[in-house]
Amino acid sequence: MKGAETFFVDLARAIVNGLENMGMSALGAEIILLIIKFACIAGIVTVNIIILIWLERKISGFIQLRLGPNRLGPWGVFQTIADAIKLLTKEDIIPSQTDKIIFRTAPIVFIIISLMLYVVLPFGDGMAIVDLNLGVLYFISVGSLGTIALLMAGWGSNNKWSLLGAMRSVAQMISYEIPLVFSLLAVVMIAGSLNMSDIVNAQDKIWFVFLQPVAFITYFIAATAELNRGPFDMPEAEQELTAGAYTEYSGMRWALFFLAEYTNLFAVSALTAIMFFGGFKGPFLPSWLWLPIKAYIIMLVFFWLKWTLPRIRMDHLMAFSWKVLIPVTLANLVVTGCVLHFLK
Amino acid sequence: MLETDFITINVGPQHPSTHGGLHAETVLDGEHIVDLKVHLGYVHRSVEKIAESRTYTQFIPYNSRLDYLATHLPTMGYCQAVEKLLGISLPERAEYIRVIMAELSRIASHMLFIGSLAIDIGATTGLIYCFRDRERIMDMFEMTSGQRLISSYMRIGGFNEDLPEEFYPAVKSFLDDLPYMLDEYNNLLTGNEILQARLKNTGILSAEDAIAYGVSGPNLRASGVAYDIRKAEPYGIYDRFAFDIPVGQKGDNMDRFVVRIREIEESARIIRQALKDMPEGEIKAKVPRVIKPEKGKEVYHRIESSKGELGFYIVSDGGEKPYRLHVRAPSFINLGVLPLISRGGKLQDLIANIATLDPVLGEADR
Amino acid sequence: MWGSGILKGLGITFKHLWERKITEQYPEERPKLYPRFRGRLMLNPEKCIVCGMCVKSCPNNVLSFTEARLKESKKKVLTSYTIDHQYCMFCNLCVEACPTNGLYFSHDFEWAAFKREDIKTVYEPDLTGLELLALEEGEKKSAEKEAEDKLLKGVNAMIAAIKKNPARALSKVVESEEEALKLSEILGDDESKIKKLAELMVSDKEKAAKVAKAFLIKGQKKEQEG
Repeated sequence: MKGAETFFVDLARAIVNGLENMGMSALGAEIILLIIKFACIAGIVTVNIIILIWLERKISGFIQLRLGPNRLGPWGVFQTIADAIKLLTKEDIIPSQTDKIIFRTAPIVFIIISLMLYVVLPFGDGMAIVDLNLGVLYFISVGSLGTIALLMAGWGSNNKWSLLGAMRSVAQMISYEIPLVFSLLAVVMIAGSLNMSDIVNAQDKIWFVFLQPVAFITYFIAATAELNRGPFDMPEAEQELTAGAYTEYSGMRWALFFLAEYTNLFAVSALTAIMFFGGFKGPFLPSWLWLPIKAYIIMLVFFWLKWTLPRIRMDHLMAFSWKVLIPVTLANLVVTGCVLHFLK
Repeated sequence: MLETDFITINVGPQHPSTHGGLHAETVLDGEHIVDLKVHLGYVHRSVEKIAESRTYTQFIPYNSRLDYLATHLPTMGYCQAVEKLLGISLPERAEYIRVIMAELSRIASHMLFIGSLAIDIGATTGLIYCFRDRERIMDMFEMTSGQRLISSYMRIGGFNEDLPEEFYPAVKSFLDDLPYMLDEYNNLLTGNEILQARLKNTGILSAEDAIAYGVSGPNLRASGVAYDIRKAEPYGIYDRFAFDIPVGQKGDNMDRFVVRIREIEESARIIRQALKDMPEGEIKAKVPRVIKPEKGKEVYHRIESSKGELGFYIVSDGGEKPYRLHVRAPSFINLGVLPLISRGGKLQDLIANIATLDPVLGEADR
Repeated sequence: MWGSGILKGLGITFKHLWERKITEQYPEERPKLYPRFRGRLMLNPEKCIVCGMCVKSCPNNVLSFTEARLKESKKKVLTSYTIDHQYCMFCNLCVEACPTNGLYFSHDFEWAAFKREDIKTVYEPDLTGLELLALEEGEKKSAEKEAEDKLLKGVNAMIAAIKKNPARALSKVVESEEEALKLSEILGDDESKIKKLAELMVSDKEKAAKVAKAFLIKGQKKEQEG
């Protein structure tokens, strides 16, 4: 059990030691280890997305009394791979009236930003790639950059639907960034640190979801909006904007957007687990299994919400953020601050 | 000072939620709709002209292709119009079967309305549940006529085939399960706060406007006018059944949605009564093999279709083909109010408005 | 209110998540078809009595056939019957019209084809050992002959009428009786002219009138000269 718990940490240490024994400087070994870690993240994310997309299709099918993909492989698990191959081999269409540079870079920017989120996540005890002191701040600030990619896609496509989708996405992200940060701040105040590992360790005795139920609910709503998932999937809104910002994209470029969305989804679910559900802490199983388990359960809730609820209207969405979420989160912050002050 | 401009955007004809081939040329100020123009004709199949080159009997299967969601209603309207032209009265049993099939079609159409509204405002799952239940009606149509969506079962003067044995238990169990189905829709959709926020107070159609534009059917009743041709001018044997006319108050999208759900219940009531009272006996009146109505005779017959007042105007020149046939298509006339109720709303309201007006483009374009 | 509706909806979707699925696994699981199901329209050629009711009843010209007569009994037999399924609306009108129940809908619903022509069904009943009249050709010939006979009869009658009562017979092609009398004078005993005019009067009245007028003008000129 002890070996399983520290398996990856030991492995990393062994690699560094091995490199140093081969006559490499300590810095060089660290850099090579970092590169290996990034490659691992990219691999894990890709495999994870393939499972995620399959899972979402399966869950949505079950909710809708369908069977979901079930032809390719056992229970259709290879369906996503087949889809990916199909998308990769599709003709790359760039409409003639687009702003070519922006149109091409938008999906790349989006996927890079979503991959950057994984850098600070502690996947296990001492298993963050970079254990930043400002982890939470980094996550939020990088996460909100995704809007720029969507705006680029919307503007570069030179399509009215895309532009409308992009504008919606900007308005939505700006509004929901604030309650998101305020909700997380309440947790940060209790933990007394912005470092994610510290926040997890602070939940040794009790999960923050029990200390901060209001912050959890507001965070969850704001996170759904941040992820552009139903019922807040305004930028896509296929019934209204055909496909919103992605209207002109096809083939692999579109697939990159799709990939990035699911990458974001897993990252945000992991963040939820870290901030409110004790992250990698859990009994029996090694710590690096607990975070994915918790993140997957949270993702199932995201799926469940998306496949049940109708899409909210744009102005209601904005009003809900500014008139309900922000006052509630602010009040929550004040209460938390007062309680903490008196407890001290 | 920033300069702003309106953008003109074409909602349709290739758009996920325009119910076929509707094309709404929309002028937007951000997300607000400044103006809207509806272009029609993408599903035009010249059904009225086709009627002039088909005999009265041959034209029957074309009727279902008008309003393909409520397959028996247009067929019933046409057959009754021709019977009126010929002066034929139907055997009792045929009349009862007609009522049952018509009301089942109405339920099927309204169920599809609920489903398509759900998917248009983003609740994809609602569609599947409605389709699951509508499937049972489709099965019943398949039992009776062998066709599911566009079944040609009714004939001029009644029916050629009686209801099959397996039909009765199927319709009975469907009617028994109907309250649970409606409960499910109500819990999943009607009670949902997001849906209420989207539908309430949007797309308001006042009773005066509705009457001025000639709106009929559930859309008119949602505006508070209790006008149902089944009551106002009973055709067939509709005067024998007890049923209520569900009426809305404001004429907003929510009213149009709720009125249709309640109409499903009323239709079920009618079917129950019809099944109870249905006599045994003949199912077809004596109709000449070659139908040749009197020369110069003309007839207008209207029925309450699931979309509104569906009228057939037939002129005879004494031959075996109609000289002229005109369809008063409720979808076409109801679509006239779309610009009126959408102006000043949001783009998302437009989608909900189209969905709650429930146009069938096959009927609107004919 | 206050999210209770949303929670109810979530409850419903959660319940359905565990329910039995309604998907029909099509190629493995066959759909349940009811006896009246209208699949491919089929013909039982043995029952066909070649009455043509089905063709008359079809709204969309799906059906067509060719026929022949037996040499001895003069009975009609089917030589080929074509059902062009791509135009079929499955309206059942032909089946109802068929007096011998030779047409019927089968339960076959899988008929994808690569070419349009493959959707057609052509029935060619086995007619070996039967002596057939080439019905179409024979009928055509006799019809032509009949028409010729009729024409000849008409012309002969017309010639007789002109000879017997020229004023009455010829007044059909000229404006007045006087002109008719004049015309008969001009024609006189010229058999060929009379025959030509009579033929025209039977087949084409307008042309006959023109020719008659031409005769009149010619005659008048002759009179003036003479």
